[in-house]
Amino acid sequence: MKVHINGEALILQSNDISKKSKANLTDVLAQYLTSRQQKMSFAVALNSDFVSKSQYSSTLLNDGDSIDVLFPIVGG
Amino acid sequence: MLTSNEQLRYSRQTMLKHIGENGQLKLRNASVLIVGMGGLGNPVAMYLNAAGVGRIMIADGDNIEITNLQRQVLFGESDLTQNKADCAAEKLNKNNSDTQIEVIDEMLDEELGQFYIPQVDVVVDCSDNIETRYLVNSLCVDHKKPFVVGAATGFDGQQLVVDPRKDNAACYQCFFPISEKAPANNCQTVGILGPVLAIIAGLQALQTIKLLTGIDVKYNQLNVYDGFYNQWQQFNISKQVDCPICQNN
Repeated sequence: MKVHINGEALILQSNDISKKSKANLTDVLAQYLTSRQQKMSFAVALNSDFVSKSQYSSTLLNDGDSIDVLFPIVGG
Repeated sequence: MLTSNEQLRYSRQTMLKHIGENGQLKLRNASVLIVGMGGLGNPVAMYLNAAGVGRIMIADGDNIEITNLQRQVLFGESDLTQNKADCAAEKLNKNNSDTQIEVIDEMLDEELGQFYIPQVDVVVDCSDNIETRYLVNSLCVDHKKPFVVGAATGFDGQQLVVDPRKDNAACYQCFFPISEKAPANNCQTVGILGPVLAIIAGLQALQTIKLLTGIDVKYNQLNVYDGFYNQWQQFNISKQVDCPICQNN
């Protein structure tokens, strides 16, 4: 399955989703973010709509979905 | 009523049907707190001052350094080592004698925030660190004050309005929860181009003027600017029932 994450194509590896019919947001974030980044504050949007952290594992992805991972910008 | 001088001075904005003389009076009677007088705070203060916002409080404990001058456009070479809020107030007063500028020459902390935030109509976050933003977010939610967030580094910017007067409004912490590891990048570590700050600050000033004059402002929308590819993205955000800041409000 192919999704877009921060504008880049990401092929979801089959072992992430082999036991399930569809990948969820937790699968994608585990593949995309480093362990350090996973401990940082970030927000995730699926097709431009924010998804709360408690819903990552229940949010199933479809081929072609667009995911944005946003980190807070600090500077002014 | 506006004086004849005010009618002339602000005529290019009062001729807008959504502003009018009534909107100008609202601006004249309004008060705003700007937190941080750096690259965002400079243009936000300049635009709000020029637009005739009656009372502008500016908080910053930093002194002007030579590395600030590339983007903090109110300041010049002769201003080095001065406190930013003091120096900005002096310049803003010269630009518009109608407005009242109040200087807070310290970094905003909880005590100062508790004192000043209840006095104003809108708070504009132009700070350069996440701790201050979380603090101001929390105080604004407590006091039900609209809060205009802006931030920029490199070619990138983020902007949103938190409006705790609305029952369904998300706060900053609803979607950027406090984390174990603080964000690593800021203007000192990754750099910043002045015009990126101007774009975000311009949007902050615009949203503030709209809030003060009663024009509908979209809240629950994070605006993300990519100045490298010249793209804007909008994300729909929502209030979180388990947000530690929002759940008691």
